[in-house]
Amino acid sequence: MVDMEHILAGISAAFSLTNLLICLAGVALGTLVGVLPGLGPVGAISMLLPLTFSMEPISALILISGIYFGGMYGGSTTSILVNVPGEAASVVTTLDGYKMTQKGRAGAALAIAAIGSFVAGTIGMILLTFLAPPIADMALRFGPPEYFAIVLVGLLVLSRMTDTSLLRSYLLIALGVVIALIGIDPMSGTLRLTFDSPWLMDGIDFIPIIMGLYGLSEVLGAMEQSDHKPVKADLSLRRLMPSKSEMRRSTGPIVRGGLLGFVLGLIPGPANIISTYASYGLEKKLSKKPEEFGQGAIEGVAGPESANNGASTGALVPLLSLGVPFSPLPAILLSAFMIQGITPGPLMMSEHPTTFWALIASMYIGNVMLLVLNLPMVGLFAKVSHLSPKVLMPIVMIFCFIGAYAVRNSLFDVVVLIIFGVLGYLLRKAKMEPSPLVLGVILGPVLENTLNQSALIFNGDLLKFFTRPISGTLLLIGLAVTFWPIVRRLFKAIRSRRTGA
Amino acid sequence: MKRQTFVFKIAVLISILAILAACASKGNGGQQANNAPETNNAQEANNGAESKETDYPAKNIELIVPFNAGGVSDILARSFVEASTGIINQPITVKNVDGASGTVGNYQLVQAKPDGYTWLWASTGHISSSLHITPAQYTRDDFTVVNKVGEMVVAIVVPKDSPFQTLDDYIKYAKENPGKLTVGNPGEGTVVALLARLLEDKAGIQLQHVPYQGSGPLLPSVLGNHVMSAFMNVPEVRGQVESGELRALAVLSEKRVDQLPDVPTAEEQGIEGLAGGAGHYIVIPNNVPEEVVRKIDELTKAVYESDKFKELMEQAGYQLGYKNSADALKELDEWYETTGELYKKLGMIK
Repeated sequence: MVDMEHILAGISAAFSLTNLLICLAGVALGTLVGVLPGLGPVGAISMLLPLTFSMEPISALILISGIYFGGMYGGSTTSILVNVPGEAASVVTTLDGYKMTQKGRAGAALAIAAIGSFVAGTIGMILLTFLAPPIADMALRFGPPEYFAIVLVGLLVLSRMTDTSLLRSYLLIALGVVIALIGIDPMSGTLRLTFDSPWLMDGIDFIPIIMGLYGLSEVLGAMEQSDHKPVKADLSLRRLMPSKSEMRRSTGPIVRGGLLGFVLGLIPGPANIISTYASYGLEKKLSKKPEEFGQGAIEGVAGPESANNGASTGALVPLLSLGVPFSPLPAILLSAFMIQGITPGPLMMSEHPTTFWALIASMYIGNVMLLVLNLPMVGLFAKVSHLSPKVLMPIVMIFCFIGAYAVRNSLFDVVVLIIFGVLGYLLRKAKMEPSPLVLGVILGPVLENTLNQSALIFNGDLLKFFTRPISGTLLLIGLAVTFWPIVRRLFKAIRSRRTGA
Repeated sequence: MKRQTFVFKIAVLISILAILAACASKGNGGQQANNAPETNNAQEANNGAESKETDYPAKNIELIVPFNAGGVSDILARSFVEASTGIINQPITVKNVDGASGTVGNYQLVQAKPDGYTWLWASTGHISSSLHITPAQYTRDDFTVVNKVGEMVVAIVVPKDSPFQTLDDYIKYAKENPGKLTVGNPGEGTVVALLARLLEDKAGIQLQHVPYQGSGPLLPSVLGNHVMSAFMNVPEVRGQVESGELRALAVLSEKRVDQLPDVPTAEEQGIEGLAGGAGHYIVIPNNVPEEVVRKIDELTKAVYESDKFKELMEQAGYQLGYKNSADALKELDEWYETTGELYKKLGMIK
């Protein structure tokens, strides 16, 4: 079925010196882009796209996919070190990653994020290589009703992720969904909650929201602790790397996170973001010590960081085997392919077999390069956590301001940043964790759009949600999980009344 | 302890200063715009005195793309810039000004200095049909269309196991089952979605429109048979049609397209006037000296005809089709009229 000759030709093409160098440049650039807040892989790839026009197709694709994978590695660095997520897919990493830094385990957190990304990326690549076409056909059975069910159940289940009480979590999610409503209604084109301000017409971008809630609020919080001492920790290589027990604790989360991420990557929408939340929730549920989550549990870094890499690999399945991009990032990869005259999809493997296998081979190589590139950096980055807050915090602040401004070169986003910075600070005072709010902002539009699309597809008959096998099952699970605590309490109340009477 | 708060204060001060500086430079921008006509007149006088031959372009040209980096417009514009080296002897820099369906970037062009060094990579929506429904800060008379680059042709596609073989089957089913035939489009108010409404109008049928957020999520939905049909740009479905995963019932253009030569047009199947797509145009501010406008037209046309650009566009699946200013304007006016009537029928405008 598969022509061995082409596979070997592809692999040897990927191992040519030029392509190895290009791959290195791609992953290094990707890591850098991931570290810098505001500038994401989408922006970076589109700016570099013209550069690839005159390149060999194989080299061009290797460069672009290198940036794609590199971006997923870099995002966690700032989350762990200074509580500022470099990408939306690293928001969850702040929960335990930053706590680990405060405990002097920044090195371990960074290293486990890199190792987890590598393992998950490799698992994903293997699945992609051998199973892409059948998996892609499965993904097509999910339409808007199924996505609606997944997202709704996801919101209901994931709201239990943090220590914030359930009611408060629901309220934060609702607030997030309302914030996401601002702008042009995608169904009718009417303006919602814009108060005649041209700035609000496009809605509020989530990057300044995230940077405000996490980064800026951290700066504000640090202002009141004037005698805050920087963490003193041993910087020798042995102490920097995760200890044996930390490695053991991380193994399960990394493998589960990678697989979970890969599966979620098959869903259209911000899969890499959802996967991090889902993995965190899962690990907390499975953990014997769930109370450690949010206090610097290494599982809380290992799981989500593996999940987002799994998801980015998973998202390549529909792209390569169907020619269908499920989110903005694969969409820009698709453009890069088309510019080279290669249409990804069922025909790619037969029309451009050498290019296809070279690309696959380069992804494995890139993954190894990323690990080699990132592990030595751990020592360097970990030093950041030893800076005194009076040096570090102003830098973080400048970081946030530039990042928010860079999203669309507008001062409005800086204002949004400040507002959410203050909000984040107040939430912190109220002992509320802001991640349900972020979840609402990110998933709100998906929830709304898929509900609308489903209603149109069903011609208004919403009961059909329950007659489709996949969406019906998912929704029933969601309902059960949500109402079970109430039912159980009711039973208990009845029982205790009986015994009392 | 004291020193720490001091450092924070400095940081806060610096950021406030940064904001102020940014505001100030904005203010300057406004002033420059006000001064622009004067300097422009002076330049014109100079030009007139020396010779009729213009030395344009003498400096860097800025090309505004009114959409996000990585979108279709952006990729086409960047391909254009890439192909322009050697033809236009000045660097062209792409500036993405995203927002409000392209109207934010368009407004920036309208405000730009009319010296011919700011161009807009415009698409049909924000210079024509979107102006019916999107509140924009400019009118159709506030800018000059230099020429048309080409367009994205739209196709009607159905999944491979769909019972519809031709446009006739499709229309017949819709007539028998009004409002039951679901049709996906990549966004309400887009040119593609308007064409679906136009088909309803021309064929006297009623469809169930399902808007998606771009063609990314729409494609799997039609492949998986969750919607019965979809209106999509040809390059986005070419691969699937070629491999037989999707069937194209018709292309909505005046003549068949190179990418799908076997697919008949709507007109061939008896539906007249169902043509049009998201065209792209080079747009500049009003009051640019006439010889500069002529020069821009000449230069850009030379780029469109270059082998490099043709090759890039063919790979992207883009239908090139140069039209001069007058023809392009005529086409845009007609599209504006057609969509205006359509919106009136739909009750979206008065």
